[in-house]
Amino acid sequence: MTKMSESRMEFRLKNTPSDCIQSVKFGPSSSQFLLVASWDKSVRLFDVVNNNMRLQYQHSGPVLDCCFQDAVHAYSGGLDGQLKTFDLNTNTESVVGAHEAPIRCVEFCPEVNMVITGSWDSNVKLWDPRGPREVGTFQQPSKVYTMGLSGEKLVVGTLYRKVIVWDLRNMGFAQQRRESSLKYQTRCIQCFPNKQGYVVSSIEGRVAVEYLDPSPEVQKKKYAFKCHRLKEDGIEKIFPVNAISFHNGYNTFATGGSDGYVNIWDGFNKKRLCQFHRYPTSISSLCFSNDGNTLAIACSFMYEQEKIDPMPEDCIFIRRVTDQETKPK
Amino acid sequence: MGRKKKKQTKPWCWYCNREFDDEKILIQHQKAKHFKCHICHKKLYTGPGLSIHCMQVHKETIDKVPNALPNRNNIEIEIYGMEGIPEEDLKEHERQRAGRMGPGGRRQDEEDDDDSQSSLPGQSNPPPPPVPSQGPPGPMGPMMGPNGPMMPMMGHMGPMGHMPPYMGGPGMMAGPMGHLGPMPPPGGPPVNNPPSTSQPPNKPLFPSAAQFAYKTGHTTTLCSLLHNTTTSSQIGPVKPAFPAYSQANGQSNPSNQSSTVNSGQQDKMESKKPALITTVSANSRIIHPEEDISLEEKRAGMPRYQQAPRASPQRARAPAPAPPPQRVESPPEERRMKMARYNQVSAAAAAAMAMGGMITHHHAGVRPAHPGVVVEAPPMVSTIGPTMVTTMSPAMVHTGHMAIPVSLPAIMRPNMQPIMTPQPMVSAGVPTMPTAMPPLPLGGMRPPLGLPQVCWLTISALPGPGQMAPGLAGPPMMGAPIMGGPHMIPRFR
Repeated sequence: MTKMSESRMEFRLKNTPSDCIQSVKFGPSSSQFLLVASWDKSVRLFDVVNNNMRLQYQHSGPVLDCCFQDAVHAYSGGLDGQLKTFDLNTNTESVVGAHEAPIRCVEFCPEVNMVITGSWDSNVKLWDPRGPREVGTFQQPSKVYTMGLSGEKLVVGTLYRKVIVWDLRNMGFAQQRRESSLKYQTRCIQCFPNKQGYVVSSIEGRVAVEYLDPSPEVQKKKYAFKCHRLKEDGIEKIFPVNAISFHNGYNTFATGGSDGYVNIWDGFNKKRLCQFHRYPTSISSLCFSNDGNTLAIACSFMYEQEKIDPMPEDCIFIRRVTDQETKPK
Repeated sequence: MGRKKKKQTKPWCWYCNREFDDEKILIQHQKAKHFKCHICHKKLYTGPGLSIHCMQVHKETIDKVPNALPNRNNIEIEIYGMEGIPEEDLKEHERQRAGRMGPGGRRQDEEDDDDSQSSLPGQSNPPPPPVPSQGPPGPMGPMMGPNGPMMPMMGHMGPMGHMPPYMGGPGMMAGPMGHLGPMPPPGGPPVNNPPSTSQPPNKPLFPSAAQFAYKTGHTTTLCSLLHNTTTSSQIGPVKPAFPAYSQANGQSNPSNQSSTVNSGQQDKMESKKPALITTVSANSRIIHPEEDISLEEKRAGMPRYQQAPRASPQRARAPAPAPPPQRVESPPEERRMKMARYNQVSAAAAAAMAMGGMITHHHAGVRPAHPGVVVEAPPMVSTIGPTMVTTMSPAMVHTGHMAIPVSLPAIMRPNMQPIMTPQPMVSAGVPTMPTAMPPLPLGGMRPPLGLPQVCWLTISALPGPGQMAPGLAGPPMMGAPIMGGPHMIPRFR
């Protein structure tokens, strides 16, 4: 793999997991600490300012997602179906509960103070961190592939392209049931920080910007665009768009695809703001820090195709992003 | 944008009949689609301009306007935006527009889904509504393939309301499918268009918002959406039109290696076979496995992750994977047991579990084999050795994955100890060779004898019982090898 030149603006984290990095998440209040979930069964906490790994704990299977509740508590879940919580101060972990199938997404909603998990058993579960204990199970049409959170709105993307919008304050019924406007399998959904809508990406190099307000005038504004495609030798290669992350301040978003590129988009003006250099392999996860100054970029081969030779290393890049790259023009 | 006066007469492109909100966007469209030099990509202003440019600069003649309808591709006609459109064509467009709006009765701008109006004399005349609109999922049915991926792009091209049966589809008119003159018989090979799932003309990412604008006509469906109807709502184009999920009358995209199998979302959940995605088309390829499962699910199915304790219905409460029970429960998504290279489980443990399950299933007499399941490496055909290799990954044990019915057999690693093919094993514990093929209950498939027993393929995402993807021959059968305590393959000793 080509050695990425490191700089103050972008560097590679050390001590990264030994297998695919599935998810990277910054904490809600600081851009110093990053949680990393990996197929090597570990959940690791990194200090990105000093570039070292502070803590790690294990699951009994590959971990697919993790999140911070606050600076002290982390939650994670994966193929073993268990939701674990870890206290970063006391360095203790415990199992909160489980799903009947692997957990794919773990999120924390500060508005309602709940941990939310989405699983391949087609259920979304809510957990009260004060227990911690399970407080509800909500069935979705199909296996949960992705979840986006904005305020109290939870947008769940499932197999067969269903999208369900829930209001976490009232889980008696789903607020909206929709179908993704993309024709291919949903890969990732993230919500606009301004709560107006969400962005959904598919495996077919396409991203759609959709709005939550069901009124016709607002729905007219929705659109989709192609991205993460490369034309090589006359064949256009279309890559899954695996990751989306929003800049909280500007409502612009970054997308990462299996082509190894990260693009930053202005969804309202329909423009691409920036594209970074190509990374060594597929981008598996992206996360902006809360203040929007740092972007964590996880690169791991995702087996979109049969093995490639040589297998790229799994790495995480921390990049300081500038207004030039993220601010709408 | 001065929409008021354009309410009724939105600008439309003479070359391809698409409609636009604004003349500026129309012009941008024309420059990008019809007046762009295919050699140097320079955008000219008019058709004749393009022709002159090609002649002078590239010394090449051009006789047709690119991406135009067959009857509208005359390069000599000078059209710029809405200027230069011949009278008759203007009138005809008005007529059609009136025709469309009339019966529909809806005043939505680009909504139109009337399949009642099939006044298409084989041409793509009616200005395409932006999107197939919620109207007729039915007629849309046959449209798939090219339509699917094109949909979002051709947002405002929309499938012709009239076209559905003809597979007009959104891009037909506009794109490379310009030649869609004679409608192919409905339900006929929708595929005959060079199904370019990638619309070459739409390459640029965000070139113009209009290009990608989605004027979907789902306004009405939204209302129903809000009432939480559980049927799939359509915010967005009608479902049948996608390549992956189309209900196409059994259409299989000839140009693709994988056939679109999907039959509509509603029942897919119960389906045992994973739907396949059309990943290859004429000049584009989606870099994704063919099965329509997420990359993570596919990875989870790989052998090396099998040993890990997996969630399963039974295990929901028990964090630690218990030593394998005889029977392995399998959550719907689990499959395949595989030998995991990480498997440290001793043979004993392994043996207890699974093995045998599948394979030995039918052998009543088989003694539970020793621990370890035998999985054979493909090339090895029954090296029957005293020891069975088998380490069924603990995962196997866990059951979760192993669905007996399903299961892709785990593949033994070649570096395992001698591996016996399950088959031989099966037969009454005698390491006979493949001759005696025990009936494989699972999945009902039986690998041909001659097969080098690779059998244990990990097939990801096969929820179904022993269903293997078309390409897999025997192995699925083997599937169950791992499961099943009591039926362990007698294997060695």
